[in-house]
Amino acid sequence: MSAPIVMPKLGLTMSEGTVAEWLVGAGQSVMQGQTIFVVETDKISHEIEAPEAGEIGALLVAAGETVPVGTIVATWSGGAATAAPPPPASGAIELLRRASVPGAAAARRIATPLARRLAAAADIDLAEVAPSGERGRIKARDIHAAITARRQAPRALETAQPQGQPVSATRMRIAERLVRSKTEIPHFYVSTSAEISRLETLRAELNGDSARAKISVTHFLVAAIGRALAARRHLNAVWRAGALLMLDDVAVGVAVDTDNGVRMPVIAGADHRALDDLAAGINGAAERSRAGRLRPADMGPAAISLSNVGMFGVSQLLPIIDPDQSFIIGVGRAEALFRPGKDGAPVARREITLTLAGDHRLVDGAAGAALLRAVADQIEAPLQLLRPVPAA
Amino acid sequence: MSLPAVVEHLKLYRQMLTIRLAEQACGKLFADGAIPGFIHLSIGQEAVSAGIMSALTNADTIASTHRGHGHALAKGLSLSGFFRELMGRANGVCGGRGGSMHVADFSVGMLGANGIVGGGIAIALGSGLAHKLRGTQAVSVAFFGDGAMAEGVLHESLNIASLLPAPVFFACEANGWSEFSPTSAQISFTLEALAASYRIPFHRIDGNDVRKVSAIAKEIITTIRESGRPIVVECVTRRVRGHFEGDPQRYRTDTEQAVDPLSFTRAALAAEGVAPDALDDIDREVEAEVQAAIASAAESPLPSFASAQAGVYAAAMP
Amino acid sequence: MTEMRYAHAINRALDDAMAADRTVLLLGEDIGKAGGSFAVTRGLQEKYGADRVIDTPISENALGGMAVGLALSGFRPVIEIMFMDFMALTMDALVNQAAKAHFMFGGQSSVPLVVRTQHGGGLNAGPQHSQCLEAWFAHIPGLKLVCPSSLEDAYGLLRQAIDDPNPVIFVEHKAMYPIKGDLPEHRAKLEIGTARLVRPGTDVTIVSYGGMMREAIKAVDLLAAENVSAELIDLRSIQPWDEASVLASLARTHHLVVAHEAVEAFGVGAEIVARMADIGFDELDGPIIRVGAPFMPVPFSRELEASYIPAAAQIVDAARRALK
Repeated sequence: MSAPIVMPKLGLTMSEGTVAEWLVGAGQSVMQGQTIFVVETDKISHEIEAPEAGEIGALLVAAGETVPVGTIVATWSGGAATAAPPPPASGAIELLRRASVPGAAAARRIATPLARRLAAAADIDLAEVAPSGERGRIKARDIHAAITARRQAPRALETAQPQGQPVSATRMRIAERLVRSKTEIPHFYVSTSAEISRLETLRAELNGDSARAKISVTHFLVAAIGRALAARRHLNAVWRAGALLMLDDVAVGVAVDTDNGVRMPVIAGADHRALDDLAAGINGAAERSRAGRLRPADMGPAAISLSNVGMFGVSQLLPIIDPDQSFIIGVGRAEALFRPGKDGAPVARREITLTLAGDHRLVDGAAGAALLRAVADQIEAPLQLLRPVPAA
Repeated sequence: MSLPAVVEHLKLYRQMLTIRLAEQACGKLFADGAIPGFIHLSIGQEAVSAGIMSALTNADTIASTHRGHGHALAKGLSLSGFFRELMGRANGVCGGRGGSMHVADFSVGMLGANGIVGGGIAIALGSGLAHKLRGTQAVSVAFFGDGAMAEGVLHESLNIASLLPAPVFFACEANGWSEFSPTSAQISFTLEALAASYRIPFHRIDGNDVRKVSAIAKEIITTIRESGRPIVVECVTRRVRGHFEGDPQRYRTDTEQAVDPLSFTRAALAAEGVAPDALDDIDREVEAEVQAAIASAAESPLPSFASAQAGVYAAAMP
Repeated sequence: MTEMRYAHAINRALDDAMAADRTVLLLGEDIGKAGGSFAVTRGLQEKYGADRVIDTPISENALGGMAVGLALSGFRPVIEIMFMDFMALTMDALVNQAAKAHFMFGGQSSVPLVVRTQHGGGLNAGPQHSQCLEAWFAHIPGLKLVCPSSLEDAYGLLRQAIDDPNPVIFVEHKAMYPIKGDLPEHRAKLEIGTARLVRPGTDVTIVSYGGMMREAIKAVDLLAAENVSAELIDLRSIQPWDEASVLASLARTHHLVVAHEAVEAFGVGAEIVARMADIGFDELDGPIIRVGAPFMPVPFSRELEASYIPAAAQIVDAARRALK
């Protein structure tokens, strides 16, 4: 018998399929159940198996070609058992009587509605049930037989699996966001250092007035970032499915460490608000973060965030960009060091290291570097941060 | 002309006018999209409805045709129930489920307009038989158009009515048209000859003079009541509008001016001494009634699908 | 219990109904003087008079329409259409008028009409005198249709049909008229829409009605000899039909066969199968198989007709297929 092998109809609406790959060659002997070729449609990729042992004749359709359902893809002569019996495969390979279309539906389990219902209730995989019905139909009695067999089978040794500690839903969410960020955003990093002696002096002087709220380095950094970004409005954008979404407001997110993980409330208007106002805003957001009471206004859109880990005693942070943003700047602690001065003599400096992570889809290294340097420049000339931004 | 006769004549005029104004309003409502489906107007045929119904009581029954608005209103359907039904409202006389071709009011003996040509004839026959079996001397009127003369069921019913016999008034509104064809092209016989074949007495009347229609109808119905035997009457009339609203009537050749039964009666009433002002008053009153009925219909609620679906089968009486 | 022929049981039902209710009338061709072509109405005109048992000319269309008119006027007419094949001539009266009046007149009226007719082959009456056309009428909203297989059910359903305010088609089987059976002394009306469990079983449900019930019972016995326990249900009513009972049976046996004498294609069985494949899907452990006549007119000669009408062997085959 020499029935040809045709492009099978694998779904109700399928009209054509692609021969994605030939797993056998012309003239090759195959065993029953051996995969001959792989069919691809816009919906699925499916392996077509030999209905019985036999020999492939000629391959009539090349790999990569798309042909209508029913097209003969190879000639075939069946019945020639030439190879050794196939190795036992895991899971029964179901043989279906092909009334009309050879090669079709090699892997579909046919089971009656009742059998399916019983199998689902008993948690039995249909792929492991031997069918007794016509056309390879799995019937209720087959499920009953499988249930009985399972009961009688020796118990497999249950190795002690170490059980993981469940995590909170919040932790899960944060984890998902971070994975998304690292998966979707092509991160690049640029680092620079900023000399902060003048910043520290200014800060000490401002905080001498005990009647007013304390200004922190973080507050200064947010102002610096806001202004640096405002001068580069084209970077105040986020990547959305192949398009740039420009943001109106120059907002900056601030990483806040809480018992429940890091939160990043967003501070609006970071480019033009007065330093005290920014500080109050940041403090309020931080409090709300720690209390778990962030408001929708705290979660507005932003293109950039700040994560200052200097207080934890580390010198540098390579941060992860928030999945809905484009940049993040990590800041370490102030370090005292010597650098060669103009004349080569060592000069004492106090520096913090700023590292910008940027979304390379949006911006390249040069622009990222320029942005970071602009932030550092603002920090090094902190008095300017006290002046109101000139009206646009 | 005696006063009672004039009063009776005025009643007939008013009845015809009610039909005329209601039909004209239907035409307009249909053109405006307020009445869905098909409507078949009987403008020009009012004298037949008004005249025949003037001879009937609520105990007498009629089964009508697809052109049944005039029959329905003359038999006693309320204007509001009528318009509500045509506009598909829940409180229409048939709950919004039947529409123009199925208006009915069993409380006044109106057994329904019928969308099947000839569909009401055998029903009227059955109703006539029911009257006979009850011995009430009530009469059943089977309305049909001259186009329906081609339907076998008319012949079957005439035969059976003659044999039983049954007190059926077979009323043919002969307007000369079978849908879009002249009746002459479709009927090889005359109704007169047909009635004679079935040994049923035949009368032909001018369907435009409502007084004549009424007088003759009364005589005929009395005869039927007393004899229990059927009679066939051909009322020669005119269908002014098309077979259905929207029919452009390109097939019509009878362009000579139809006798308008209303104008005819107005003139007759004037000749009897009724002042035109009085007639105008009636006109205004009836127009106001029609408009009020339409207004109430427009504000009436729409029917609920669930209750329609529940109305397919009658529930048994406990 | 009284033993009598099926035709006589129907006669008894008509007699009792007419005695109980003066508005019950009979109309039909040759039902009065001649007592009906199958003698079903014998003696009734003598008993109730020509005003209540009315012979009509051969005018099925007008007969149907008249019955509608009578029913709308407060009578309960029971008309006889001699052969179900002739129902074709009453279609306007039944489908466009009787079925619609209650609905399209907004509930102002109802049509308490019964149409008695008979269907089926077995007498070599040929293509125009043997058809089973239940499916035509079961498809019309507003009509009801019953097809009893036993004397007791025939009596009960006919009494109920006459009392029903809706048009009911009461289908008899020409080959069953002479069959003898028992009519109990206490004769009750039978609610329309209830099926009867004739034989309980566990492996496969057989649903049937009317004349095919005899073959179905034989099939149950044949299957028992093969160790297949078949459950047999007599639908008795077609519109409405007792889907709850069929579903309950399917839930017990998980296999279903529907058998009727009517042509299989687009027949009553198609509705039952479709409905069970819907509401009973998860109970099915095999395909639902129908048994019906082949898609051809009823042939005349003895041998041809015998091959045409489904028999027990086909029901047995169908059960085997359903169980595969």
